[in-house]
Amino acid sequence: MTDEILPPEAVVELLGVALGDAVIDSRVQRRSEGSKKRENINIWITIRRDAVHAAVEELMKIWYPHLSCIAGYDKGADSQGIRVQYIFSIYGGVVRGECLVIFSLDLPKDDAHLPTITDLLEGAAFTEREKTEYLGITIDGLAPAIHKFFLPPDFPDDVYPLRKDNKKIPDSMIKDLWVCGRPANRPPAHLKGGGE
Amino acid sequence: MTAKKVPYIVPVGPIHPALKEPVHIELTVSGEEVISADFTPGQTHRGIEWMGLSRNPVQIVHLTDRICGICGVTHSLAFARAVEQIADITVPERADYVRTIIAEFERIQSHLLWAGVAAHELGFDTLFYLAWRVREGAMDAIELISGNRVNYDIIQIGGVRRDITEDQFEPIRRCLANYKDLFGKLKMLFLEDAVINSRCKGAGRLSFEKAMAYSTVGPTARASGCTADLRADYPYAAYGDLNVKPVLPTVYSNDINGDTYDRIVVRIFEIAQSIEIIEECLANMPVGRILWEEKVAGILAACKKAKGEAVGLHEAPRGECLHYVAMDLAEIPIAWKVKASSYSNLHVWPLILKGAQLADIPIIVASIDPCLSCTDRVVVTDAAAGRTKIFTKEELTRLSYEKTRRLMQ
Amino acid sequence: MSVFFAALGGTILLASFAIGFGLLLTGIDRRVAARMQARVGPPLLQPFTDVRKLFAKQNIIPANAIPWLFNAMPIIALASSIAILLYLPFGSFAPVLGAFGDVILVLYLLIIPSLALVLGGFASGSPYATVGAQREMVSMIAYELPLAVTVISIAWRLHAAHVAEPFSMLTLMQTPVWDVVGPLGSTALLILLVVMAWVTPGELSKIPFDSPEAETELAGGILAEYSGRNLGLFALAQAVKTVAVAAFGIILLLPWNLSPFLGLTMVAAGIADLVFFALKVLFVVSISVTVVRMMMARFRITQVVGLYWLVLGGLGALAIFLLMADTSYVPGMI
Repeated sequence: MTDEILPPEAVVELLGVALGDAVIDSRVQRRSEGSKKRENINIWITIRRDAVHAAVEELMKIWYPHLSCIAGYDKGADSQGIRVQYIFSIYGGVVRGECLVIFSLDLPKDDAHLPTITDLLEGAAFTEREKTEYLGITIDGLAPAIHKFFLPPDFPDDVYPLRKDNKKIPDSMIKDLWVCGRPANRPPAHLKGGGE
Repeated sequence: MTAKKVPYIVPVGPIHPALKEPVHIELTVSGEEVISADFTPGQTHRGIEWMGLSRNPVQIVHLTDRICGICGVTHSLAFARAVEQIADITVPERADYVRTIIAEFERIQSHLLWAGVAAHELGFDTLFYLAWRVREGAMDAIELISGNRVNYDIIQIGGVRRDITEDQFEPIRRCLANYKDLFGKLKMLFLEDAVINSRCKGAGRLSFEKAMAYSTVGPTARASGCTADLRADYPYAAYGDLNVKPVLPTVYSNDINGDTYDRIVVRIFEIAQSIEIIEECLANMPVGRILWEEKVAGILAACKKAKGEAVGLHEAPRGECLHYVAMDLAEIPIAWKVKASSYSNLHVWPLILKGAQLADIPIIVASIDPCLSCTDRVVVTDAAAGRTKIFTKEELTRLSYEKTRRLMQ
Repeated sequence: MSVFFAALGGTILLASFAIGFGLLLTGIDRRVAARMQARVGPPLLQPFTDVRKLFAKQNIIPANAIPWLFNAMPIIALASSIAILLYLPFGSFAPVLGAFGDVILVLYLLIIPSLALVLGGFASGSPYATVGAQREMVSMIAYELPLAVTVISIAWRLHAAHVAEPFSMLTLMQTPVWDVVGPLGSTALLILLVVMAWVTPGELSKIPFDSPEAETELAGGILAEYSGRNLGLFALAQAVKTVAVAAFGIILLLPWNLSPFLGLTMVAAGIADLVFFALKVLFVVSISVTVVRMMMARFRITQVVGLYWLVLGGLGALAIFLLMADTSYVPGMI
């Protein structure tokens, strides 16, 4: 880790050299707002799925990163892939210097595995577990959770809220909830007190 | 609940007077000392991201307003910024300033709300009432600007829906002046009180290393010495034009302990900082339009042509709020991920609760200013049959429909 | 026989007076507190309504509880609170059972309502109540030291001044200790007044000493599982105890009667003294309970012990030394 603040192109180049052909493509996005139109910078890098751990390791050599979260989405019911984004930022705390670094990767649904990065960043476990619960991605190397963190305890196990295929939330959980009769086996409510 | 031998299991939540929102914390306690803590958030799954995936961005903006009851502008600002980047929409400068002003008023009201809650957790109810009474000023200013007190609905893709007019400047300045007068009093009451000092100093300590390794954000991170503040580091909205300096506990004392007291210090001084930011924004407000495109159809047409992905960031009162949006030549986004500020802070609970005194749990839990969603299911226990049944949201919805129909007959 | 009936009548009269007055005090406390917090506050008679409501409510006994202990404790708490009153003189009225007990007995009787709470808490079978009960025990042990120091040093000073029966409550009321001391002694008594002002909220489990009930930590703690009639009885016991504790402090340190100054006699004197006594109780409760409650946050239980043993215990010891010095320089004036 150096204390030098590199321009975004240099960061991209450093990562490109370190990761070699695992980098599929990269771009630097600049956006300016306000009167003075000062720029903020986002670096988008698409990598091969097996390079996640190495990418984070390389990023840590540049600056101690802040992991905002791991995002991800199902590419569609007929698609076989999930796209996952590791959203980091570096140069946090440097005035007007913070720079997002987003690693994107494609993951096939039938082999939805990712390595854990908790050995590098302890706090990543929380957001990694979210990916397991919401998208059904297995995180290798992360101890199995003793309970759910993001979904209610009674949420069905094989349903993943953000999937769009056959593992998505079934219509029975969301549609026509009003169509029901009063259960016949329920006794009438009693309002008497004194249950000693 | 049944364990009587040492160590006890003390359950806190999901329904507990110290918690305003549903989260379940299970504490293993020996005497008065917490040995270990485990927490289960996600007591409610509201499925907001899922809802968003069948709506267009203009509709989602209104949905984002309702993600949180305190951060009325945080989520909509972050989401709008993400969509604007994908569709390449330039926000008018004046709108950037209005966004900044309302975001800072939100910070004032949110920090005062938190200060009140913190005082209540400490059993100091007078301070709780005082803080909440003082908070009304910011709420009134927000109502003046946006027309609403809670769900402001002021952000639109490409700008804001309401302008701050000339005649509103005066009441806003009066409100700020009033806060400036009160600031010294607030500082004295919260930071100099002997009991608050003795209860909060050293309680719930989070080291700089852990704060970094757990990627904490906002006042929680700054109280541990992380200088991260998006308003200073990552120019967006009008913040790029200002000279915002992250507030660290060193503004008040000489060293950084990362304890509950430091979190109070950071929040109290951030109120003063917000007042300054609003004043500066009011003074330098550019003239011009407030929307990139006034017609919703125009905005949607731009969204329909948009392809790509973007991340919208905003420094919310509780820290970095992030929205990831991906669009693919359709009105409806193909992905929307909401990362609320507390998401990055909740997972330090087991760390900071370990070794704490039982009496300090409420204030430690509250010290990171947790913000969770606010509905829960009901557990019904049938004692005679020895059964426990959890009513899911669906069943409760069903029962409510049933009841309404019975009443209408 | 007539003594028995007189005692019975006195008890009933005293109990109803104390319950009514205690609830009214709670109402005044809540109202004044609300005004201090810029709120409107409940009607003065709200505590009466609350208790009436509680008695009408379902009385739930948790499955984990020990029912007989759980149910007995509220009754014992109320009965023992009333029993304290029987030994306290109110104004110029002599105690109902004055002949059968002295200040040391009252000191012990004051423990019983708290002890009942503790047992009730342990019998609830809830971790919140258990932790609350442990804290109540600790805080009892904590405030007992400065309280005992105060009582003993005042009685000892009266004894040193050759007052007959210094441990009798009636003596304490009729012979204000302030009259027998010199300047050093007065300083000591002022210190003891401060000590008592801090012991009173502790005895009554009010903020900053309410850690046994700590709403935000323990969700009501010791009372977490109580509801309905049982909780109503505890509310009554608390009201009576408020009167008893305040009265005890007054008898020790603010014992003057109004009638000697006004030259009243007989019934008029009794009524005037009683009203004056009630006003003093109101004053003590306002200062020691309401104002303190408004100004402070809750202490941790460890801080409670530290405050009572080290700070107030130290102050008590200082007062004893001053009183001893006072005795050797100014021999009793009576």
